[in-house]
Amino acid sequence: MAVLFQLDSPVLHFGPRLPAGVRYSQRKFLLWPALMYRVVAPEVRPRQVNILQKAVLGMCRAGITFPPRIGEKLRIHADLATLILSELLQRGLIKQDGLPTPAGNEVFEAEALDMRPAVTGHVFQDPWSGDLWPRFVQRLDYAELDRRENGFPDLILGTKGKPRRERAFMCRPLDPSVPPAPDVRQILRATRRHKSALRNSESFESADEDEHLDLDAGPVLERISLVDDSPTPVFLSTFIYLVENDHTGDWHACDPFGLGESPALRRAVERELAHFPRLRETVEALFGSSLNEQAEKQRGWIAEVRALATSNLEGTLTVDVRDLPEFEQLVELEMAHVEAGLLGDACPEQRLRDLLGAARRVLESSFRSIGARFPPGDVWRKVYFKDKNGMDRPVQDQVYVSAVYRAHAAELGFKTPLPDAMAGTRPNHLKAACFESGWRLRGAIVAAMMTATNQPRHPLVRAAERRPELIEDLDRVATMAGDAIHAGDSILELAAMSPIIESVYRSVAILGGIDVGATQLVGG
Amino acid sequence: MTSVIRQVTDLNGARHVLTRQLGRGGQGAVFEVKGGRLAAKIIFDSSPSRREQLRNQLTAVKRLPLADLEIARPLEMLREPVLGYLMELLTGMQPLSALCKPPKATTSVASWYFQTGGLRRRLALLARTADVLSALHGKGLVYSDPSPHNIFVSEASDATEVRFIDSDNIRYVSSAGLPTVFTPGYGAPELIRGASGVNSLTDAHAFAVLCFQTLSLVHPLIGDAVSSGPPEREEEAFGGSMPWVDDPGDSSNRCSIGIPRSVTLSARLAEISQRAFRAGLKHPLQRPGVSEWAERLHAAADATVLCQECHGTYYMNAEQCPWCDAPRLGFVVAEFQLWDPALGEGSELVSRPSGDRRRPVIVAALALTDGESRVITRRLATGQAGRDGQRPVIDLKFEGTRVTLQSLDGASYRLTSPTGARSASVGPKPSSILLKHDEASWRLHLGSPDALHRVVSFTARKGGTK
Repeated sequence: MAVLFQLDSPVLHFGPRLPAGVRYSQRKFLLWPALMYRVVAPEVRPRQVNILQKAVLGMCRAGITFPPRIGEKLRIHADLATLILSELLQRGLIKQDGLPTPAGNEVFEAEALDMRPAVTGHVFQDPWSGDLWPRFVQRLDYAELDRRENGFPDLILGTKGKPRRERAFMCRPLDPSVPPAPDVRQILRATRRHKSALRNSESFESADEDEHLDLDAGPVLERISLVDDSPTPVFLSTFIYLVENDHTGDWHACDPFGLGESPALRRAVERELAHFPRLRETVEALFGSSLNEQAEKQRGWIAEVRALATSNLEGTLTVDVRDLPEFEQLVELEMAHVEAGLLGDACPEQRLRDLLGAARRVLESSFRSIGARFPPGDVWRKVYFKDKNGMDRPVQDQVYVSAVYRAHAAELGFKTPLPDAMAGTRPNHLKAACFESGWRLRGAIVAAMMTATNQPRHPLVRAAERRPELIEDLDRVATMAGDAIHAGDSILELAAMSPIIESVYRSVAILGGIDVGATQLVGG
Repeated sequence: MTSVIRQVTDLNGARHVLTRQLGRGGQGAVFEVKGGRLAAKIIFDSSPSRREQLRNQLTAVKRLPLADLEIARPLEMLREPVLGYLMELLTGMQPLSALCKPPKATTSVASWYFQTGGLRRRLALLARTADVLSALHGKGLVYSDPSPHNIFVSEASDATEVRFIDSDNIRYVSSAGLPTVFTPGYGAPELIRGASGVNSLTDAHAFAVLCFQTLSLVHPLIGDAVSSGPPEREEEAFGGSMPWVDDPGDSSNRCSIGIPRSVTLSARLAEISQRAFRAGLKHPLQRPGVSEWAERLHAAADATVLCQECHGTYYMNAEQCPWCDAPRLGFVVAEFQLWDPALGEGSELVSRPSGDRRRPVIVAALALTDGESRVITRRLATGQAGRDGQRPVIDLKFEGTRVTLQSLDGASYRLTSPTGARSASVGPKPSSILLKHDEASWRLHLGSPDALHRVVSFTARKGGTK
């Protein structure tokens, strides 16, 4: 048996559109298959009165116009009955005496007695499940198409004056079997739900509240009949989309009949993903293009943050900051600082931990460059000894080691005693710093300090003159950064970070010989 | 009568609710149909015989093979008592007349000319208009009444869609004596004199007039002598008794207004205009047909460059922008040549004698301004005419010293080095070729290597001097 859905099967375009107030960030068009049946059914019109108005109008038609009596009959409060009567009066559906006007009678008949004229229209059936789309359309709008070389159609949308071509994925069932034709109850339900959707919903799935009341009403069912014995295979043009500024990562499907979002179509698409790899690609492309867009935005954000960070740095440390070897690390630190400030309370704690890490990397970079210019040589030997085998061994006496460090600090003019952690720097860390085999910050600081004692041009000599508390400042940064990395339990706040960052900038300015004038940076 | 019509029914029984009136003329009115995709033309004519005649004519037009032409033809006839038909709603379009005459409040005609698309867009729109008429003539049909009011074009200044409306008058070539419809100013002299019925040459005259008018903003037969003379003189001019405004041998009807033809008409357009309004005015058989207009208009549009200063477009052979006098910047010409593998390896390029040498045959040329994208359509790639000729094939962008190429139709195209020793391909992802002075460029092949096809070579041209 031949495949039912052909490349040249008709494509219907009922103007799929987004729910009110929703914009899409990405969308992909689909040509979704449906089996179309021509039927005769009551005309679908938007509902004119709600269920209470309809009931009260019916009371009026029966000659019951006194609000307390209406309330009693309908089991609603008399005040509500009065309100509904006034609404009907305002709409010209009842007269002052409470009896229906001709228009009121007409509306009641159309709404309650289902006296809608029978018209020829079309219902659409899902070719896989056999379910009817809850839609009933009288006029078929054919899509304007342009066929590619391979026979697949592109949709031509836009205006006649400025048409645009949209590539659409055609979901073509290859199974030649046809589900059973819909029965009259299904058709009636489809028309009812279409009416309901027209009235109150952006989605067609909410059933009419009184749908169940007369679904079995014989006279109505008798007025419904199938015109065609066999269905016409058609494709419905629609699209799937991502909602703009929605970060849930969820995609949506648009009702092919122009009534907003369609959860049912989304379910149908999801159901068929397993059978149509190209459909899966289409859905994935929706995200792919979105991710590309997000990445582009992210690149823009990074560029702007970097520009702001550079500007902040130049404002704080003058344009000379660009000459510092640790300039890139400084920019990274300030970028992290700016980002954390922009994010405010929304800043994840991990970002704050990263900020402290960036602060430490700046100082490590500073001392690495100092070490490159003033190699420590074998200053480490001052805290090492040779064992009986002639091997270098670290001095185990921490009091001695601390004293050595303190002596060097004092000679340079730094405030002593040194902070405990600095004074407790292990000799092997110092040695590693001297051999550039490790860049533990404290080891590097101590190595630089011990190197500086005999070198009047060493940055630490000048630094000690400008700020004797510098070693304490550096130790504080090392401590906080170490805590941030190793102790996950502590709660970090941006406010607590700012003094640390200022301290880093001050230290960098002093070590780099940047004269920032009589600013509070240097003044501490 | 029509003011009370709110709903019409077509012959299939489908009802259509009319919303707003879009236009009203002597013959009838056009209404938008609820749904935004259709329009209903309702014809007012009280005479029963005339109504019957019109109904028959519309039914005949509906049966004509117009589906592949850009003509808003009747889609469905309306049921009695209404006389009319449904047609597609031309959203985002406006009459060509909007480009023929600047609004009264316009302070700068040049600015308005640019805002409405400038020279290149006008040439492109007219070329597409000529394509439609030419295709219609190819089917043995005539439009009867081409005028700027019956031809709709895109409102957006970056789009070049064209639709003919009022298809009621389309018919097979008629004979003299039958009632003919034409718009004053666009009717051929023989129509005015009643010496002929409508035919492809009367369409060609109307097209030539509207073409000249759209480009130069003056009617080719209304010079100063006519515009300042008595009304009868206008009739004389339209009847072919006066020379046209640019007649080289008779300056009695010169025109002192309008945009200089040296700016708006290429040499080939100026030549065809001479034929259309000089010999062709009195002798219809000497009048150029619309297919010739189409070919020359397309070529003229292809040969325009964009001024980086005023954003006007002008012909690439001008040394400076005629609108703002800015010197023309360097640009690239994509020359479309013929490649015939049957001529033997090394001499595949089809050439013709030129003096004592042979030169490659150039079938089309497309000018590329620095920084601007232009598209090779099927018309350029294969010579295909008509609507399908507008399909995009390859996007070209010239920047600095390189041309970037990108396939727009999903196909892959071959690039070969000047010596033919190396090759590459152009696909959906952009590829670039570098242009060097005094060196031949890589060639873009637009067809199968085994068959005669077009190839494109790129030549950098220097900027002009002020």
